[in-house]
Amino acid sequence: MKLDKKEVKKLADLAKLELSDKELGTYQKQLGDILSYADKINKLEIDDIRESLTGVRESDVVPPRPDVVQKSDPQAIEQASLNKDNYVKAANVFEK
Amino acid sequence: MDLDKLTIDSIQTGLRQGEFSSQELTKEYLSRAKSDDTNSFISINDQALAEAEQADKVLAEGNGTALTGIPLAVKDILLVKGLVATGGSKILENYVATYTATAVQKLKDAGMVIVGKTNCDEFAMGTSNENSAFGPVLNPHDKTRVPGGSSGGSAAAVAANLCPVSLGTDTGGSIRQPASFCGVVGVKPTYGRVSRYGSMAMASSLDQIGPMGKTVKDTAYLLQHMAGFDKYDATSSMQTVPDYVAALDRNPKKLRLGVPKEYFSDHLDKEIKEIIHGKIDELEKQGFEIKEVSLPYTDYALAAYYLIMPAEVSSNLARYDGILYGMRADKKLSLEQWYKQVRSHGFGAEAKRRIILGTFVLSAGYYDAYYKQAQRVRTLVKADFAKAFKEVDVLLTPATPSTAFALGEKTQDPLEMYLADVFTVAANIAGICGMTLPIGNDKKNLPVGLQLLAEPFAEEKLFSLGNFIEKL
Repeated sequence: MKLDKKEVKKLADLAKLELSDKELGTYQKQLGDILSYADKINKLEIDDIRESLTGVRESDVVPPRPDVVQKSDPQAIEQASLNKDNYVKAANVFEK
Repeated sequence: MDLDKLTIDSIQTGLRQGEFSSQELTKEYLSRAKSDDTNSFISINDQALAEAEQADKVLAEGNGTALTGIPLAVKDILLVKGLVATGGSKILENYVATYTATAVQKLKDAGMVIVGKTNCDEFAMGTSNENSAFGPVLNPHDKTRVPGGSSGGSAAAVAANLCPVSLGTDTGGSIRQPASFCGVVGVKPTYGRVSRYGSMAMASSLDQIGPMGKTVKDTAYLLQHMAGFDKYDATSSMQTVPDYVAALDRNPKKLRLGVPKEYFSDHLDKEIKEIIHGKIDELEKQGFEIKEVSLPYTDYALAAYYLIMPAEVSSNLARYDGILYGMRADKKLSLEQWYKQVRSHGFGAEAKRRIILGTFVLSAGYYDAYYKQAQRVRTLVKADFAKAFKEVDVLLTPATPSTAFALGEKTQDPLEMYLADVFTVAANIAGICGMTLPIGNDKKNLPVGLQLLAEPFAEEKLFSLGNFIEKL
């Protein structure tokens, strides 16, 4: 599997990353190498095997805990770049 | 005070017999950490002496645990309330944790003193500690070489006597590989054995927190206190925590040992192969039953790891957007530009590489061929181990294909770097437990590690056998 520069740029855009031309070239080559290596798993004919999302055995899965509402920690909100009156502010979603 | 010889038991004896106080001991480690030339620490805990003073009070009253007053270094991926937690990333350079990771809290409750936060690859992504935004860690055995990664600072700090024990995290070998490169003991517990609450998530289905120390017993003491169910981590196990320290004295000779042939291929350095075979021969002479086993999907496990892990990384690292915490952007920017400015400047090259790779793996057209196929391989890797563990109790393998490599040797070729994880990733993919311990040195005088693997929740077997091998 090889990727072209346009595809790498598209993926970076989706991940909200801005890459220089040099970075695009470097990643294009490196990701191609990694995917060519990883492609070996596609030589296996294992469509009938069920996927495992974790290493945990089914007998060890813990049921979800009940949701409990808790107050937010003001210290956590103080970490936000922009905050006012114990609320987090975000940048403008729509450009003016 | 000969720090090189200090273990948890000998420190505890020293403290209880009044040979030294926790404050004196902590002061000694702090002064070493401050003059350290391996770059093992990102920050020092300025409350360490106050914590030691508190521990001394508890000891003076004749109270406390086996860990009271023992200094501990904590990987900077783990949160400790009030201390900066960078995760080795510029994006969190000034982030102050607002709560403490459960595993760390349990050790604090047992009386341990936190000396500082150790250097690591950015968000635990790396094999050499060269992906830290705060510079690489140098291997204490040869400062031109890497300490391994991603818990490189935690391994080097123990090896360089900057702390007696430390905590790391292991997603694909990040405790076992640096432990091996630095000549210390490292344990990756079973997935779910230790709560991941307060550990910055890299790949949530693979991450585990674990202990590092000079002896197997020291790591058993730490795991004893860290393990157990935590309501804040839905994947933590409700299984009772056994007595790991008692397991050390159990006769290990009842354990059936296996040697997986796929781990001794041409990838493995000849000297390491000889040293490991030498150890296996010694165990045979001691009367252990040892047989060859096969884990046919070993090679595929590494390929699957480098698809599953980046997929989870791309999701987990989406949280670093500069809004709730961490690096800020120019206030005048729109949201889209804000995200891009923060993430492009805040993440290092390896983080970006894995985010892009993970975004690709999860994209609509390639999800089936890569992500789903890798999860099927995971089923096969789990089955490989399950089958092997019907025949044997513990697998003996090399920890790494080579001993510590030179700084800069693999930085230009990420795939080459990834291949160095070949012996450790399968344990994370399958959720089993593993330990590495030093068993000798190569001709360059660099430590060689032996890896022990056991089925889920069989850490006692690792401690029992590890303790025996260590004393052999």
